[in-house]
Amino acid sequence: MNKSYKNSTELMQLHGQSMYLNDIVDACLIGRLNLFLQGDTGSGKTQLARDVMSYFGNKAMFVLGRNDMDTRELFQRFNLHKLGYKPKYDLEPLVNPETGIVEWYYPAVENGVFTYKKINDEHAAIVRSKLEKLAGNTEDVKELTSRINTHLIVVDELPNCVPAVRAQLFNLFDGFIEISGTPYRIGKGYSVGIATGNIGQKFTESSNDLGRALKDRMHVVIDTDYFFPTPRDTLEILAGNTNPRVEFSGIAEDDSAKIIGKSQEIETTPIPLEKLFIANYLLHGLDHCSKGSKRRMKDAWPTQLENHEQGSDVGLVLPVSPRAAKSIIRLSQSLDSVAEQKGALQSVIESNYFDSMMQAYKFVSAYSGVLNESMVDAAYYSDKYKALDAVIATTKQQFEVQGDIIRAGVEMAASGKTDARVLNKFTDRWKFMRNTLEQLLAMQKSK
Amino acid sequence: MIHIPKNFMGKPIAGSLEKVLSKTPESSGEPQIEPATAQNLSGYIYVPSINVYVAKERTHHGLNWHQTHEALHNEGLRMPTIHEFREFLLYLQKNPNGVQGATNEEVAGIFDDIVTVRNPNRAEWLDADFKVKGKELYIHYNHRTVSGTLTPQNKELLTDYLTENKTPGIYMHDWLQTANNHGLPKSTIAEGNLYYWAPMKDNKSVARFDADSVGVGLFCDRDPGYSGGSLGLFASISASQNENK
Repeated sequence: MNKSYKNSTELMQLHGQSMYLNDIVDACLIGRLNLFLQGDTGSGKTQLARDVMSYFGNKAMFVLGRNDMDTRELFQRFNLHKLGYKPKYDLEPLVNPETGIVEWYYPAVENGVFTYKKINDEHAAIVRSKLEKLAGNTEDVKELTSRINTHLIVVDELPNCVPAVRAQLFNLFDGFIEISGTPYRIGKGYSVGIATGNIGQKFTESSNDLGRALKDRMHVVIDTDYFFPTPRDTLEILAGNTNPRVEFSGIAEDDSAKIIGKSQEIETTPIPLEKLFIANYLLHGLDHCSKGSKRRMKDAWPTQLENHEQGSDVGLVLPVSPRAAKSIIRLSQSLDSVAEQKGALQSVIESNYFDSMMQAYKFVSAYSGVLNESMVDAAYYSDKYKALDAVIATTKQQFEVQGDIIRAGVEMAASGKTDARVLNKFTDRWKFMRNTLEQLLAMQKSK
Repeated sequence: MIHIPKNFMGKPIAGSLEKVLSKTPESSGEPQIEPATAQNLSGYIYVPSINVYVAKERTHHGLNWHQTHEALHNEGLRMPTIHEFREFLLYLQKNPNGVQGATNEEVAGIFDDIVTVRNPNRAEWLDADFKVKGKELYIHYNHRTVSGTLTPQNKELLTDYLTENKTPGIYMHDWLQTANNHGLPKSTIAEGNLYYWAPMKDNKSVARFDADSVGVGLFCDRDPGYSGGSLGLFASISASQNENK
């Protein structure tokens, strides 16, 4: 990869390997997880996204968020032959990387080299006139372009777009484009999105439209200000180049096939039982409170918790959603894979699934709206990652204390016989394990 | 398809069932107190008045009252009673220049951590379980794991204690100096800023000491099933117990 972005700040130690921002981005790519890079202007997030584009050769698309955008333009062209217009070339929309404006080009061969040429003003006027005669009914002359095969879509400054445009962009991140009521899959089964923006610390509040949308569509959110490059990195960056503009990396070797292959491998690898139990703890164990269920409390959480619960993880964090739980498992699998590529032993990885799940939980959940913002402000100096570190420490302690009983439960399930003495040992926040083990037992019996 | 692994969190699954079931009362044989292991006491402060070592740091966060006992007993440690915790605080208060095993800065830091009104929330479990027998309220303490079951070694009638809540509060200096033999404030205690929730007659209340930005208090009405990231304890070990290892 052509790398202009440099950052050797460690995000985590995983399975004995130091993991950096580039590693998390790699994990998102092979896990096919959409990534939002939150950070102050000029912090390098756009550069990082541009660098990632070079992985995908010409199957990456850069979109500068604009309010007058119609994302369908990005994937369609006019077949001018159908307009009865000569010469017989088709117009393709391309995004000007400097301005973000969609401009119209036609394919041409110059000195044996295939290229795109911008139509001149005269041709543009003719096309406009022909299209206007159709009175807006241009669907018959439109075709999908090869850009529908794009694997990576980068949207810069996404928060600058109005909600209607953001909704279109989020559809792209979901891997499809809707044209005239028909959904078309993007990237032939592999597509992933990276968005950047600076929307402050409060954007995940439920009253915030963007916060809700981000929560739904962006699987992983990383605050690049928090993991700012080291002085050594910035010295290297500054000494090498004082151009303050984003460097547009040239098209390097196309690693698409390698990334897609790894992604398919991760998707088809069975999920370890340990990770499923941890995910169920995050879904159900963290839901437990004196009122029964935090989810059912809705807006009464956390203010109507018992006094003694406020100030603890019961009042600090909500359970994750099923969608987030899937993202956590997927990111954990990808992080394990990246750590293995960096030299971690398989035996070490298998003994420490808990660690990769917790790191994945941290980066999926920090900005997903599960934290009690006022408590994070008051007790953790507004540091979401620190607040989640506290939740993770509690979770680790919980699993260590409950470890023998969980192992006994698994052994019971493997034996195919229910033992109430074991199930009854799961109480309070661990009650969900009774039902979990009963299901595991049923699955074993049906084998 | 879910595959059942051989290990969970790095430890073998085989044999866990037997290990866990052997701790259940139904399958236990002769009642036996689980053995404790000798401790490295470098992280502890010796409190002479009670002949107990108390940890310099709050540990075992995120566990409920029962789980905390279980974890402690597995490590050869135990939970301080209200009386022991009060003696520990009194010892720290009386020795601002440091004690054996802790510098003046450490003493000040521990005392501040426990009793200062500020964020973040800090709390510690205490070994006191309040039970009703007839119409009287009893305190159960000195819990040990006996044949896999948490069992109080002492069950005593509560007498000469403040039966009403004070929010706030009672005078902490008085509490430290004049508490009854179970560590509870007496009914004659002066008023002050230490919040106090009296033992409840609901058969499901245990004791805890809490501090946050609102106040500091001795709670004798807490739910033992609760757990939280900021809630732990200052683990203790009897000096005589450790000498015998």
